[in-house]
Amino acid sequence: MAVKLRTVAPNLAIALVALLTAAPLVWMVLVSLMPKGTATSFPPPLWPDHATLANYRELLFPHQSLGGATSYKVFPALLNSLALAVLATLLGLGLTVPAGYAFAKLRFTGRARALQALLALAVVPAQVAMLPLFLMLKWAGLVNSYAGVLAPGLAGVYGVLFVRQATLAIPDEMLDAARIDGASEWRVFTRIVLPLMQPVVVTLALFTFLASWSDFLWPLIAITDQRLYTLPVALAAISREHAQDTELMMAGAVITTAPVLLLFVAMQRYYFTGVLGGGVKG
Amino acid sequence: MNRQARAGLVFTAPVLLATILLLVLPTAGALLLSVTDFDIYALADLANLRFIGAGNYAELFHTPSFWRAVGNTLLFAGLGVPAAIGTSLLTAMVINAATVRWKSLWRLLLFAPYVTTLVATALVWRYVLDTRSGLLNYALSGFGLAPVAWLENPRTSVPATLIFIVWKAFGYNMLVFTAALSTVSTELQEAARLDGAGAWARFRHVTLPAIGPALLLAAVLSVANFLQIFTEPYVMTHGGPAQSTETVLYFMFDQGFTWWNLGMASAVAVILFVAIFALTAAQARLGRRYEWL
Amino acid sequence: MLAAHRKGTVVIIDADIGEVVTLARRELLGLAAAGAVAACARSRGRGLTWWAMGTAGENAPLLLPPFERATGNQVDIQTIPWTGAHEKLLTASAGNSLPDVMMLNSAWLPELALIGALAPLPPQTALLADQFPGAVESIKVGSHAVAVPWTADSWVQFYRRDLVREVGYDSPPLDWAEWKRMARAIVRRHSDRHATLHLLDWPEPLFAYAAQQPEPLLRDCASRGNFASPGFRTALAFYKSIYDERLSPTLTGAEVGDTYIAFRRGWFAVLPSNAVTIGDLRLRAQMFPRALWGAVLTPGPGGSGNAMARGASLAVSRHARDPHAAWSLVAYLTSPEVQRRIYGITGDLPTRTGAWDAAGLGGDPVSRVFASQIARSVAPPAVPEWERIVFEVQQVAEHMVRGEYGVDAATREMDRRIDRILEKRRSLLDRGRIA
Repeated sequence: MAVKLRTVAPNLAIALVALLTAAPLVWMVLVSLMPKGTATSFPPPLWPDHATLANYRELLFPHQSLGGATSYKVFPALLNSLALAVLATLLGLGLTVPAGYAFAKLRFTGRARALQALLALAVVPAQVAMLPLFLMLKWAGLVNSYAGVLAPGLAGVYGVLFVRQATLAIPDEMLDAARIDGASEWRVFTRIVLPLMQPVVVTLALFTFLASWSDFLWPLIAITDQRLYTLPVALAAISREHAQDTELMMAGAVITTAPVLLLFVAMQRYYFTGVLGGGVKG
Repeated sequence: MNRQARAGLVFTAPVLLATILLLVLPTAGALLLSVTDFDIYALADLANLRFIGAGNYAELFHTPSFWRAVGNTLLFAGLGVPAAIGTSLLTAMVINAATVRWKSLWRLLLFAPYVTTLVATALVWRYVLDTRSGLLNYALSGFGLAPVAWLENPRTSVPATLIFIVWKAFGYNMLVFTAALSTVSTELQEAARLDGAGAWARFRHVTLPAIGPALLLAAVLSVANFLQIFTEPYVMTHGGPAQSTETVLYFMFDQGFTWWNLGMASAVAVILFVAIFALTAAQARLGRRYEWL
Repeated sequence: MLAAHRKGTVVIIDADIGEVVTLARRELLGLAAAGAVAACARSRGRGLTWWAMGTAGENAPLLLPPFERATGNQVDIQTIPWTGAHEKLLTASAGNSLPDVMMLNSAWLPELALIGALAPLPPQTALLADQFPGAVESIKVGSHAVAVPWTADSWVQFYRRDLVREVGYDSPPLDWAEWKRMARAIVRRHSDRHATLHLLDWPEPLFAYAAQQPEPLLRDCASRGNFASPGFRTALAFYKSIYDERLSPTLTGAEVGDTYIAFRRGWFAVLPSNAVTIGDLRLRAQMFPRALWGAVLTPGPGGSGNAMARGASLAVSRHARDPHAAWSLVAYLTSPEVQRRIYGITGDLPTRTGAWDAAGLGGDPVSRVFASQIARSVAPPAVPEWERIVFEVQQVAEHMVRGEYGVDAATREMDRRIDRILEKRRSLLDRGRIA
C-alpha cells in the first residue's frame, strides 16, 4: 500500500492547523478550572493541578469579600444577554422576513427604488449613526433600557437583502396558483412561503441571535446601569479591574462564549448554509 | 395587483420606517453634528452650541493623535487584510486538496473562532500573548527563541493584535473560498498540469478566475472590517502602549463618549464613512475591470 | 441586638456581624430623625442607588446595615472601578440615569456641576460643619457647595526602610537634589533595581512636581495652558531625568503587574502613592510587615514639596427620586463615626476633624505624614476640562519619556493641546456666558 505524500500531507497540515486554531479555546477552558494564581507562573501550566469550579462560583454567585457580600453581577448579565438576544431575534425576524419576501416576490410601487436605497445603505458603517442615535434616545428617555439597546438592530438592512436573495428561488407559479384559488396575500405568505423559507428563517434567526449576543460597542454606550449589562460589557468591565486574575477572567470568557459555541455546534448546518448565501430549495 | 401592492407596502413599511428612523436619520444627524462644536458645554445648555462649518475637520487635520490613529488603522488594514485573506485562501486550498475524511471536524474547529464572542476571546488572547506567562512565548521558548513583549512594546503591539484578529476572522472567508474552489473544474486543472503549467501558473489562470468574485467580496468586506477595529484594542491594550493600537474608531469613541466632544467625534465618523465608501467603490471598479463583479 | 448605655453614647452590639458599633447620642438622634422622615416617606417604598468607587466602594456594603435598619431604606450599591468612572458618570448624566447618591473625585465637580447633574446642598445643613477647610474649598464650584467631602487623600512617598538604610539614609530626603543622590546610590548598588516607581500612565507624580512650582498650571482666568512656564519646565525636566537616569523603570501600570509584590521584592525602594496604599498594605501585612516600610512627604525643589489636592466627595443627583433619603444617606456616610470606620477598613482618611481625633489618627505616624501633606496641597484649577487636561498632559509626558519629544518641545505641545481643549471655554468667557 503506497501512501502517497500528496494525500497525507494536506490532511496532516489541516489537522495541525485545526488543532492549533482550537488551542487557545481549549486553554481558556483549562485555565478557568485552575485555582487562583496558578496560571500566571512561568512556564504556564497546561493542565490544572486540581480542577476547581471556584472561579465560576465566584463569578456567578454573590461572594464574601472584605466588604461583605459583593457580586460581579455576571448571572444578571447572562440573563440580560439572553433576553436581549431573544428579543432582537424575534423583532428582527418580524421586521425583515415579510419585507424580504415582499422585495422578492411582490410587485408594488417604489420597490426598485427602495431596493436600491437599501443596497446603498448596506455600505454605511453602523458607527456613523451611533452618536446621534445616542442623543435621540437620550431625548426620548430610552438610554439605559432594553429598547435603547435593541434600537439600532431594528434597521435590518442585511436581513432584508439576505431573505430576498434566498426567496428569489421560489417559483412564481406556486404563488399565483394560490392566489387564483382565492388566498389572500397574508395566507400565501404564511401558508406557502414561510414553510418553504423555514431553513432561511432559521439561519437568519441564528445569525441575529449570535450578533446580538456578541454585540459590544453599542451596549457599552447605551447601558450605564450594572444591572442591565450584557455579558460582553460586564466581562470587559470586570477585566479592567481584575486584569491580574487570569483564572477568573477565563471563567468569565467561558461563560460568555460557551452558549454561542454550543448553539453553533448544534446548528452548524444552518450556519454554513447561511454563510454560503443559502437559498431555498424550490 | 392592487392587493399585491398593498401587501407589499404593509410588509415592507415597518423595516423601512425603522431604517429611516434609526439609520438614515442618525447618519444625517452625524453630518449635522460634525459641523457644530457639540461638547460638554452644549450638553449642559444647548444655547452653548455653535455652528462651526468645517472647523472640526480642520482641527482634526492639526491633531497629531488623530493622524496617529489613522496611521495605526492603515497599518492594521495594510497588514491584516492580506494576512486574513491569504490565510483563508491557503487553508481553503489545503482543505480542497485533502481527502474527505474528518473534514467536518476540521471545518468545525477552524470555524469555531469566528463564532466566539469577541470580548471573551480578546481576553483569552491577551493572556496567550502575555510576556511572562503566555502560551505564545512558551511555544517560542520551546523552539529556543527569546520571549517577545508582544502587547507591551509599541512596535509589536499591532502585529500581536493582528495574530488574534486573523485567528478569529479567517474561518469565514475560508468557508467561502472552499465553496468557490470546489467549483474550479478539475479537468481544467489536469489539462493545465499536463500542458506543463507550474503550480503558480495554474493558480493564476485556472483557479484565480474561478474564485475571483469570492475574492473580491472577501476583500471588500475585510477592508471595511479592518478599518472599523475597536473592540480588540479596547479590551486587550486600551489603545496602548503609547497609543500604538489606537484606531480611528477607538479615537472616535474616546472623543465621543469619554470627553463628550460629539461634534468632533461625528466628524471622525463621517471621515470613516467616506473612506470606507471610497475604498469599496474603488475595489468594485477594480473588480469590474477583471469581470469579477 | 443589644443596647447598652455609656456616658453620652449608645453601644449597639450587632449579633449578626458580631461587631460593636458605638454611636454618639447625637448620631442616634440624627438617625432616629432620619428614620422618622423615612417612615413618613415610606409609602414610596423605593430604595436608593449609590455608585461608589475603588476600595471604598468594594467595602461600602459593610457600612450600610445600620443606615438601612434605622431608616428602612434599602441601598443598592454599585461598585465601579476608578478607571472609567468618570466616563460612566458623564454618560449616565447624558442619559438621565445617574444614581441617587454618587461618590466622586472632587476634581470632577466643576464638570458635573456644569451639566447640571448635582443637587445643591440643602439649606441650613450641618453637613459641612467640622470639615477641614481645604476639604470644604474642594467641593465648592463658584462659591456654591455641590457635594460633601468624604475622604481626604494626598500623595506621599512610601519607602522600604531597609533599602534606604542600605545607602545611608534613615528616610528618603525631601529635597530634590539630595533625593536624587539617594536614588543614584540605590541604583549604583543594585544594577537590576530602581530607586522609585513612576508609572508612565499615571499623572502623579508629575503633577505633584508641577504643584511645587510658583506658576499656576493654567493662565488667563484658566483659559490657556501655562505649561511652557519656567516652573513647569523645571518640574517636567526633573520628571524626565528620573527616567533618563534609570531611577524608575519606564513602564505602565499594566506592565508592572502587582505593584506591591514588586515593592516587597525590592524592585524599587520608593513607592509614591496615595492613601489607598495604607489599606492595601494593611491587607498584605503577612507578606509585607509593617516594620519594613514607612512614609514621608513628597520631595520638593527646596525641601518638602506640595502635591495636588485629592479627595473624594459624595453628591446627590439633581434628579434623585427621594432627595430627603439621599441626603440622609450622605449625612450618615459623612458622619465622623462612619468616616472613622472607613479609615479602619480601607485606610481612606476622614475629612471631619472629629473623626481624626476619635480614631487617634494624630498618633499614627503614617496618617500624620498624610495630614502634613494634605496641608501642603494645591487645589487643581476648577475647570470642567480638567480631567481631559490631565490626560493630555500625561500622554505627552509619556511620549516625551519614550524619546519622541525633548522637554521644551513637550511643554509647547502640551500648551498647544490644552489651548485647543480650552478654546470653547475661552469663547464662552468672551461672550460672557460663564464667569
